[in-house]
Amino acid sequence: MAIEINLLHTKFFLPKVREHLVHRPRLTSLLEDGISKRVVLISAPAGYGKTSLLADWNQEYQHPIAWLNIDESDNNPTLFIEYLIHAFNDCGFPQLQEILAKKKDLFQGNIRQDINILLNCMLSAQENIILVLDDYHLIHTTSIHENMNFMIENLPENVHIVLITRADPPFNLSRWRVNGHLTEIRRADLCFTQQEASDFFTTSIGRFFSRRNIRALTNKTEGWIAGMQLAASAIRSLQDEKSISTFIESFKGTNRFILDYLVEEALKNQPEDVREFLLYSSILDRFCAPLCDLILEKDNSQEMLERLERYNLFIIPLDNQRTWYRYHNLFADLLQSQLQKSDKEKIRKMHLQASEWFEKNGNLSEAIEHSFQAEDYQRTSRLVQAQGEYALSHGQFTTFMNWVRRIPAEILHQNPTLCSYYVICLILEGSAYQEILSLLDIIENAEEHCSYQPAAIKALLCILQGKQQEAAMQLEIIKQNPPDDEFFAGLYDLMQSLYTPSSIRNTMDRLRKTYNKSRANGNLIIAIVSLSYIGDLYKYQGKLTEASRTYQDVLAMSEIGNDEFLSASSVALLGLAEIAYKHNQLDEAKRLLQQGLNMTTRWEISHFFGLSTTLARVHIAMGEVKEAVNAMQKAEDLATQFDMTEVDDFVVACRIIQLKLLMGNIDEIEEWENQIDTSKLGLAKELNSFSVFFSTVDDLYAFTHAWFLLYQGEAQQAITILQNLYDDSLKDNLDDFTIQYAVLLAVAYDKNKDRTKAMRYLHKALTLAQPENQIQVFLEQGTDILNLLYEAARQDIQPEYTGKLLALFPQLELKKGKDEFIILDGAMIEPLSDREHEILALIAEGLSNQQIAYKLHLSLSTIKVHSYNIYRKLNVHSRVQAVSRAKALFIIS
Amino acid sequence: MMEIHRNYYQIQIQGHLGENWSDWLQAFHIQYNENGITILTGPVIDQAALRGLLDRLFDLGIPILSFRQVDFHPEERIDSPLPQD
Repeated sequence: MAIEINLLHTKFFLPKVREHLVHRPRLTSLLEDGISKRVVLISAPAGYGKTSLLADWNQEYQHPIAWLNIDESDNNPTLFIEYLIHAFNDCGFPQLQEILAKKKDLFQGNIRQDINILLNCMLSAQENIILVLDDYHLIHTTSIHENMNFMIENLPENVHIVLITRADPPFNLSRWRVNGHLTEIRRADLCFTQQEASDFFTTSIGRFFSRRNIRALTNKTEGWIAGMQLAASAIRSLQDEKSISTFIESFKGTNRFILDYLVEEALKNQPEDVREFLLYSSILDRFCAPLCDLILEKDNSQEMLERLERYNLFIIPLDNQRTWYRYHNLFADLLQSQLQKSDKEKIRKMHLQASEWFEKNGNLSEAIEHSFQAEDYQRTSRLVQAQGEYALSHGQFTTFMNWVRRIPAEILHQNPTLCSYYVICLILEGSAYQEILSLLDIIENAEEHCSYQPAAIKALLCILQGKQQEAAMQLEIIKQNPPDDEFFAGLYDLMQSLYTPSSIRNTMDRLRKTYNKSRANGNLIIAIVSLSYIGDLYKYQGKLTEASRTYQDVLAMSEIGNDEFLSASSVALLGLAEIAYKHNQLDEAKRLLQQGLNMTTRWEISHFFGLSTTLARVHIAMGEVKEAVNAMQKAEDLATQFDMTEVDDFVVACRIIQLKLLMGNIDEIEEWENQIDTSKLGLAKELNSFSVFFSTVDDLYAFTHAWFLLYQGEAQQAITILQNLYDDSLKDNLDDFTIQYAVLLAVAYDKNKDRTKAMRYLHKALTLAQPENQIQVFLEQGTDILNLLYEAARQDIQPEYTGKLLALFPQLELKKGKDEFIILDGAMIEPLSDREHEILALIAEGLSNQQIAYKLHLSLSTIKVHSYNIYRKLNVHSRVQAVSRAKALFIIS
Repeated sequence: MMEIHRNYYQIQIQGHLGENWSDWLQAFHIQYNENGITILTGPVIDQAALRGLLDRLFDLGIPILSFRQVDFHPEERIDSPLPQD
């Protein structure tokens, strides 16, 4: 149940000592001693006064403390580390704060790196630092546990951590225990002693209790403070000694679950109006006086709330003005279970009133939640629809989908607008195509539906499926019936600007208009997507700086508080990562892609393919073959599952061929026709004149084919294809593509023994690449382009840039350890390892990778890694080449 | 659709849990022992559901004495005596 009361939460708020709190010096001194060690673990179930102990200790000793209240949403590692760093602000560590302020740009949201930086900062601060993490049991993300464990294992001596939790965290607790790093305060320590119980009852009830009665209460509740508090509430309202004795006698005799019994007693002994108030207000996750007045049909709720607070009846104020309150969770649960005995119809009515109140006061999510509880699904459907436009425009897809899925199908189907919003979400989520189609059918057959809704859905599907003419037809229908709904209007503008054939300049202008309009109307998602496309256009034009800036703007716009980003911004992360890759900043590229992939696990599934295939490319450049193969596999698997279009399978197939070419696994790409399903070729052709975005799909196919032909030794054929691509991109000023085509043309002409033409294209590539510092496009071609670059250096073509590129070639690092290399026939060969020798010999025998894997008891991917290394060392691209070269070099006989 | 295999679990807790919890424990059969122990028997779809159930009991501070998987439907064996661990 996601109720948006985050704004009321004060995550860094140190709990204050409550009135009537029993001071517990035996525990505060235990904590004070413990703090000299590394970690204090306070582990006990709810209601044992863990947080109160900290408040008590803080009041007594007054150390500066960094405090973090953890909640469910902190299970995102990036968010968690952000909060952790924030916790050190404004809490009296002047040195640490100064260091953190200086280093703040270093924190990049990667939890391990950030913890390392944080540890260094804390070490440099020569002051005592105490960090308290409250409710750590709410963390269930393994990577956060691992990193917290790492942090504690490496904690500088001046830092101490207090963990408050209901369950032991999965840390190396036993080792820390043995090494004396750990102080534990557990349930048994936290239970009230007889003396504490006596103090507690005396202060909270203001009456002295007989020792016998105190012992009875303590024994029966086993020192559980929540139980004692409830007992105190039950007793407080009893007037005479006799009824107290009766209560305690019956209490001793009961076999029931103790809190259940106590809450019942406590309620029974309250005046009627208090009892009623407690019971019925417990249906509210948070409440204020006017709301309580309404559902209880009273006019004294404010007074009642103050009374409850005075009596310490498990009520927690949520703000300083004493407007909003909630109950202690344990108490709320108990009250709600009591409520089950009462009139269901009455409670339903109250939920309905609460829903209406929240709606009137502009809090739709709480209105929706209560409407669900009231089981008034017509109302719920109307409310969710009303919230749908906002939710979609602001990227709150998950919340929205969860609501819709709780509405019974027959009610949902009566509301075509709600269905339309839902279908858009299903498309973005990559849900089963069949479900989308059947809902579309329902929308179209609904009596009252706006014709732009099904048209927009169909247009979106056609675009994803690459059906250009049908998409244009649907867009025309929308044009005749302009949407009166912000989200659909924005979606229409966006589709119209993208998929109407036009020059890049016009497309850019139209996108800019869509962006400005959606921005002004608060249609955040459409603004994000249109600006991302503007970024893409800059990138295609080779204006990488401009593109970077645009993507950064997208990220700034998609930050939804707490440093969380909308998943729609993953395409901007992809863009930034591709640029980092082009600049040969591989670590940065990897980080950005990981961040993007974390976002797309559930949403924006179509971005996933670009992210994971680019990640594979980065892995290859870093020599991480195994990881590259994994990333490719993931993209392929997901593309197959994503069944509403084949375009993604096609794009992924092309990208994977390129990756295999980069790895030199040419014999894995046996027949071109087998790799790219010929039935999909028609699809690519149709996309040719579609728009700048989909023409890249067609070009991607041609470019990949040319590259493949080149490595098959068909240089002339490759040149023909590349020449066309090159001329087109030059005409359209798509410099980024022109550079790629020119580089490959240079290699192709060189292979065709036409050095002059090769140098002409290399010259062009270098001239275009230099201003924006494009590096990888050259490095990718490896040794094939090395000689050409030497030649360029000799001919004084872009000498500085060429020199810089040459220095970056990993192949040249071989020269540094010259002695280790075999030089045969003037060629320099890094020696093969024994395993590589073994595998090469088996390759020469004609065994397939699978057979080799089987024979050597190794995995297929291991064999692939070894073959890749063999190819690299021998500077070849295929098995056949490897064997002939190895024979020529007398490596094998 | 994947077929859901229901497992039955039997959980012994300390204290008699009142009727007021029956909504929450909808599918569970509740049985009281004289010594203040409640035995809950019912279907648990998977390990995550089991964990949710145990967490809830834990958060309410209800002491869990034992839990184990059983292979019968609670309705069929309501009156059969409980094996003691």
